[in-house]
Amino acid sequence: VCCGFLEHVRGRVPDDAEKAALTAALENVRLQEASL
Amino acid sequence: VRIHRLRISGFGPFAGTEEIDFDTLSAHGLFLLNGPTGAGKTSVLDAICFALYGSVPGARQDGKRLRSDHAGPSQEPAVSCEFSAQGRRFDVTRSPAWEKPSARGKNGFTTQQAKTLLRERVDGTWVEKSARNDEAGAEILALLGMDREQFTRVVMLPQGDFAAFLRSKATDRLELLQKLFGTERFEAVEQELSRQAQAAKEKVAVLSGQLELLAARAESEAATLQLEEADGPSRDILAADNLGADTMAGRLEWLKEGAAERRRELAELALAAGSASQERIRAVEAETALRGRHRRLEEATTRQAAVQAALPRLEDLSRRLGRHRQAEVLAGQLRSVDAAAVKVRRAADAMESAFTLLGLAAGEDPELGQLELGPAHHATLDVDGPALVPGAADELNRLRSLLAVVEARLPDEDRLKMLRSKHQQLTAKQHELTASNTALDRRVEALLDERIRLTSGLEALEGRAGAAALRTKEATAAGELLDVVRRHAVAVAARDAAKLDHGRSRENQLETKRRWLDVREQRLANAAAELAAKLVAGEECPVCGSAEHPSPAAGDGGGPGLEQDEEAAHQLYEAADAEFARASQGLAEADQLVAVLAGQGGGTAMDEAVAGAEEARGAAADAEQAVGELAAARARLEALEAGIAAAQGSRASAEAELATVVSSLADLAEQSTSLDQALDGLRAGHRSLAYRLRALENAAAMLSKAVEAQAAFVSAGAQAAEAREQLELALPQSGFAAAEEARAHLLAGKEAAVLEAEIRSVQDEAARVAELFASDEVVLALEETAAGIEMDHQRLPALQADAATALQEARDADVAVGLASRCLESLTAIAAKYAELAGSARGPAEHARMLSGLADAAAGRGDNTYRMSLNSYVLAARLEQVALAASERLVAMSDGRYLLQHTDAKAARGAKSGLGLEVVDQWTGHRRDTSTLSGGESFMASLSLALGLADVVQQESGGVEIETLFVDEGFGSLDEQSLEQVMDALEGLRDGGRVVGLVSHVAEMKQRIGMQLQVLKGRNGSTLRISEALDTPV
Repeated sequence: VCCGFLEHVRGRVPDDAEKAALTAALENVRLQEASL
Repeated sequence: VRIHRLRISGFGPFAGTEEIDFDTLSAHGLFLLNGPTGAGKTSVLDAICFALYGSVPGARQDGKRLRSDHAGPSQEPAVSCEFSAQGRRFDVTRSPAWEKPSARGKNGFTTQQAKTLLRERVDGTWVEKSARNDEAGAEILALLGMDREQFTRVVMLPQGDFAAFLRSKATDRLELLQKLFGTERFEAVEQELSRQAQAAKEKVAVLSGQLELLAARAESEAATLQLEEADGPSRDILAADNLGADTMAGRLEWLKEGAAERRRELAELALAAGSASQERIRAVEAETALRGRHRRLEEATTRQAAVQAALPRLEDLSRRLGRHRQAEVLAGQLRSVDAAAVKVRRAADAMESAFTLLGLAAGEDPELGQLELGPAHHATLDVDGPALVPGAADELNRLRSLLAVVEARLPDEDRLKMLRSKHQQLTAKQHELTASNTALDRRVEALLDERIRLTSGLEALEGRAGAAALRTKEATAAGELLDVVRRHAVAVAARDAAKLDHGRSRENQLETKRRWLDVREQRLANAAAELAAKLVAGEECPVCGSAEHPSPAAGDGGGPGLEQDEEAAHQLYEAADAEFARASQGLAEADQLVAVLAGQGGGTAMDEAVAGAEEARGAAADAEQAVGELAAARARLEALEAGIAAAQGSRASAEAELATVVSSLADLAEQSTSLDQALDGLRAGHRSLAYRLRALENAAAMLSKAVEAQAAFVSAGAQAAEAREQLELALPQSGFAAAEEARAHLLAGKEAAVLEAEIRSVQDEAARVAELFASDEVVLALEETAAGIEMDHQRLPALQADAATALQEARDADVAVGLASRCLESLTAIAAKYAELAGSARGPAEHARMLSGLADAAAGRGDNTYRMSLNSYVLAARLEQVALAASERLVAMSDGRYLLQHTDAKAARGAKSGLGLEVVDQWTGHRRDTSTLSGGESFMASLSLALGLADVVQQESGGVEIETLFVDEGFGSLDEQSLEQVMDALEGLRDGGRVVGLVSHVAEMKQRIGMQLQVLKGRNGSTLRISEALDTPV
């Protein structure tokens, strides 16, 4: 969803580093949800 | 998933235990969950959610206590749910953590941990699957295929919220949709990206700060070297760009080279200063050596003069020491002669003293006064001393012989003492025996008197004791008679009482017999009436056998009661007759007893019998006493006989012993007299032989000392003569004419050693001075003096001051070189560290830039051409998905008339929200905003959206079939037409066996839907009730 969003709003596919950063952010959010 | 049963205890608003049978509720496929606001409709759904997942949905979980406030203090909160999923049936019971009142403390609580029990029905019985919270949760999650949030969205359709979404404007829909779709996660992702970007930026800032710090340190280090700034790159580059690390590296390189150049220059200067300093130091050393040489020359000259001055005294000392060595040959003999003379003198003094004491003692001691010592004469020895006494030794021998004789007779004196002591003892024994004989005589006399007295009283006692047996027998007979008299009196009284009893019972027997006969007579008189009373019409008479009873006899009123009266009277008579027989028997027995006792003497008067018994008892007691006294008198008589015999025996033996003692006394007197006479001569006037012996020992000791002293004197004189003879023999060889001359040259031990040491000291000093004059330094000093080179005291301080100055300059130069080296090292290290840090900072900077770009894009900034946030994008996508699913539902509900369509409506500030929705009327082809829909249409559209959301979630979670649905309709009132449409729509949901629970308090719904689960609100909490209206069309 996040990669699709970036492609939609910027007109280009995110590179590997950006994908990794998005994955990490999502993972963090999941961890926060789990800890709640 | 289908819910079958729910049991709620002390949970939410429900204080007690409520049980819902969903199978009953679901009989018609649709039921209504209704109740007043705040009664706990939502809590029923919460209870299902809690039973399955252990927690209640999202927002309701916060700040809400699961346990009912109305529940009793010790009631455990619990929810139990029976459900089926994937063709299997389960029962889960959960209890949240709660505070239970402590059993021990009044005010204390103990925390009860949350509990879970999951069971499965296998072959008709429940089998436990898990009792652990986490394990049961995982099991249920796997069975349902969706998490709590997904389950909540699918099972509890928030249709009312969708209705609100449809009615609201496009610009206000974001918040509503976010709540409906649960896309908070993407908003959180936006924030997370922003946070990460900020963190990365801060990290880069920290690295930049470290780089700046390093650059500042490098500048500070280089400042001490004062490099020419005009030649190097500008230092302002630091401020211009923090990440311009390459430029800064060039500047650092330039600083390093400058520092190295400065270090080389300073090193050359330090080398030159060091050489100059060394030269000055060498000049100071040369001057110091010259001063040392000339000082030693002066010292050697002074010591040589002192040795020359001491030479005459040295010669005299050597001569004295030589004569001493000659005399030392005779020293042994001289010491022997001197020692022998001293010994002779001492022996003479001792002898003189011993004989003087002997003379003085002779005046007092008769033993010494009787000594015969003979005339004194001088010995033939060549020594001065007292005259010798020739008879002393003989007298000493005589005294010692006498001493032996006296000593030998000492035991006789002890024997005499023993004989006298024994004599005294026997004399005392004689007196004692005499007194004892007198006492024994008196005792025999007293015993004889007592025997006479006892014998005279014995006859009377024997008379009294002889009648004792007879008296005892008489006393027994008198006692027995008294007993018979007493028993006879008692028997007479008993017989009198029996007579009275007999009379009374006789009268009673006669009276009762009379009464019985009276009643019997009366009954016989009424016999006809009694028989007539027992006749029954149609039954035979027992007397005549007729079945007809035309004239039964009439009684006088006694009737059938007379039969019972007669029976009672007869029983009374029989009882009285039996009592009379018993009294007669008693009287006969009493008469017999009185007769027997009278035959035994019972008729005797009581006073007479008592007096006779008393008298007989007294006579028997007196006779018994006499028997006792007689026995005692006889025993005493026997004892007296024995005592008399013993006393007489003792008297005879004492007499014999006395005679023996008198004889022994005479023998002892004779022996002691003869022994005393024999010892008297040896005592020589002393009190005893022991005293004589001690006097003789003293005299012998004194004489012995005198004799020994005389012998020592004679021996010392002989030794002195021999020593003198030896000395005379040695003299000719020693070089001295007389012994006294040799003695004069002989020095004391210490004096000779001192002389020798002094001589050796002067000789050693002379040798050392000679050695000194031969040394290289003194020889060189002599040559320099000869050449005119002398010591100059002013020259050395000037040279030393020059050397100190040069040394300080050299050290300063070395310090400057050291500083430059350290500066160079620091710059090198800083440059290396700078390069390393700059290298490691590149990655983070890139990362920070990338994160910043992502965060901006997610928030609708930067290169985000749509200015649309991630959250909005996700919501729009989800709405599009849900609208597509909802359209299918709506088409079916509206008979193919309406479609829902997603639009890309604008949001605030020109941003694209993508959250627009419109309804397409396929009959007319017109598009309408959803806010223009009527009540029923709006219900259908929102229910379609709710179901569309459920469909999407269901698909995402793996397509698990949801068989129990709750629809929270959230409407106000509906008109008739709308209600029809709504009911049709709800009717359609039941297709496929699905159970739909409608949460509503719309009055029309209550009338339409017969099967209802009512939540009743009360002061003590809420309760649940299932009601069913049988005539309801649904």
